[in-house]
Amino acid sequence: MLDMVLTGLGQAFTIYNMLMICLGVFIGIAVGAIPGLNGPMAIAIAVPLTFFMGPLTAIAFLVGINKGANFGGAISACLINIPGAAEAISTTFDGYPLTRKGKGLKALKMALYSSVYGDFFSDIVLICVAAPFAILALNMGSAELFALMLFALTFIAALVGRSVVKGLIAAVLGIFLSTVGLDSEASTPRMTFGEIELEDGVSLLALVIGMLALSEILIQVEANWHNRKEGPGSGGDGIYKRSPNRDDNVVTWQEWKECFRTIMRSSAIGTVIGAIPGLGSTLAGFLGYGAAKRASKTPEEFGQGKLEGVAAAEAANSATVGANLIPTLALGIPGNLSAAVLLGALIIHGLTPGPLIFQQHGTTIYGLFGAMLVANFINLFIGQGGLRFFAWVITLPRQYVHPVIVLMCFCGAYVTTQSMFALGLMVGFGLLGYIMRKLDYSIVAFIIAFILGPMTEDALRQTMVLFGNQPEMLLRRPIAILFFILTAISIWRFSKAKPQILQEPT
Amino acid sequence: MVAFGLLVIFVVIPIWVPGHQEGNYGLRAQDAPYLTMIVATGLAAVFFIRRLFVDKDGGEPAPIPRESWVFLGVVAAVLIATLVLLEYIGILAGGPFVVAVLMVMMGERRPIPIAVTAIVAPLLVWAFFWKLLQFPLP
Repeated sequence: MLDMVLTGLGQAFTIYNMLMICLGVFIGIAVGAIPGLNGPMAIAIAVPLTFFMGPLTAIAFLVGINKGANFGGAISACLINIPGAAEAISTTFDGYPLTRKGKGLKALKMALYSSVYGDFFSDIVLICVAAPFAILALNMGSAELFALMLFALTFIAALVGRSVVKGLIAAVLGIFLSTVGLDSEASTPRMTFGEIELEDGVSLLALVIGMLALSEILIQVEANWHNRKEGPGSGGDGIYKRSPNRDDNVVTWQEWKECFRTIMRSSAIGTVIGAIPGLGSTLAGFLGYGAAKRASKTPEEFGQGKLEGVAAAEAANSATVGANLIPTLALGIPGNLSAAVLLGALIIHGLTPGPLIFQQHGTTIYGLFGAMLVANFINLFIGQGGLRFFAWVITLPRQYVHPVIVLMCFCGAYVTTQSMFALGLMVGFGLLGYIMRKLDYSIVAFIIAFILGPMTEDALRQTMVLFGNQPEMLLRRPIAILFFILTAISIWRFSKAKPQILQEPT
Repeated sequence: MVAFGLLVIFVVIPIWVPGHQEGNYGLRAQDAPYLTMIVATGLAAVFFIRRLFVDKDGGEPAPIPRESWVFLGVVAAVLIATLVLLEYIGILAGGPFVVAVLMVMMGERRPIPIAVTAIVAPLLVWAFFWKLLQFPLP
């Protein structure tokens, strides 16, 4: 065990891996800082770039992007009041007022420090919890796995958006689409329409790039096409100016000490929220901010430019990053959209997440943990050194950035299969994603269901074979019964919850 | 959505998913597609009926406005033209086309920035994938 951990960590700390993590973090911060672009989109486009890398380097690179993008969202949130990603919404509450007071750099630095701390905290929890969790999960057979997958699918209810019916339709269609291709038991072709390229199923990468990246860009192109941009959307409006007063540009030791309790509390909140699939970092940010405000002796100062507000929001939303990987790695259940895309990338690189991953790929996973810890420090250094550069990045006009991203979408989808068919699929999914966004169908539910669908079907089919077509035998398996009860509780809980609170914006 | 669901249930699945099964146990290959599409169609029918009789005045977001359909038609044509260019000429033709057209659609009117971006960006992407990573592009 110790050998595995040390070997894994040793593999993580190579110059090449460090460089790729640096590159990932840099790309992540730059992308996350640009309003409208986000981490999952950047990871989806970057997955094809990892084909020439080993599994550890590839996943470390993608995790670097994820971590960087998480902080990147705070840059535009603080400087131009537009959250680079949804999770940074609560960062705008105090970040932007601080910028208006000439303390933009102070706000950004506090966002960076608290983001890195929250992320580091949740990584430590991930490292301590994931492996024991997976050992427990090892006692599960196909029946238990099926019950677990059913339980996981109920978490999609948290991501359905404003309309539960529409969200469920999107999720069920995601599962339906995942049945295209040769079925895993008898290799029977299903809805391949005679196309050999569909026999492996619908390309996950074409689907993710099309629905996440291309459709989002199309929405933004349309906003410019109709000339109805709102606010300083095409970049900075000159509000970011450096104050000549040194104290306005740094976080003092006293300020850090004052915020530390809040950062600790928010990190714990974010870690718990992140470990529960489906709840999302946006909710964590709001809860962290709300808890800090309730605990404060001067709650009336929140929203007026209080440094503690920035720290609370950023520590909480960043603490979901590592925690999201607990269910992803140990159970194969993606905690959120970024984790879902990372799950896809793990599968593409031959690592199947789930209870066996620590047995089959233990070295790589401990290497990944090492890389995640390193990525936090790299995030700190690159963020600290490049704050002014990233502040400039958000001023780049969208009409230059977005067309180039569309070009990257084409290239990314092509290199997966080297076929024009994947490009056609990507375009088709881009247009479908555009329509789904317009009609308020949840893309997140669709993608997560597409990933979980085959696992659920395989587990059910194996169970039916094992039990000789007697599903009632499931009731003789205590762990399966436990998950069925949890599924029922989960359905009850989500049916009572307000969808808009649980919604994970895409 | 209901019509699409019925089409899939009664036409697509029976034709494109073999129903026979070897052995006498387990689920058929048809079962998962049938189950999911029946659920999706049922939910769509519920939604349709609710919109028709319960939420007559909305409550749900408005349907896609006409100008968005026009935009979708234009952008679909641009993307399909890009696919054709990529298929028959390659990235160095399809790339500049899609970048230039999207820049114009996003409001850029100055020819020099459009030309420079449309030429330099695909060249850099091509050099990165093809020359640096050795990944062939179309």
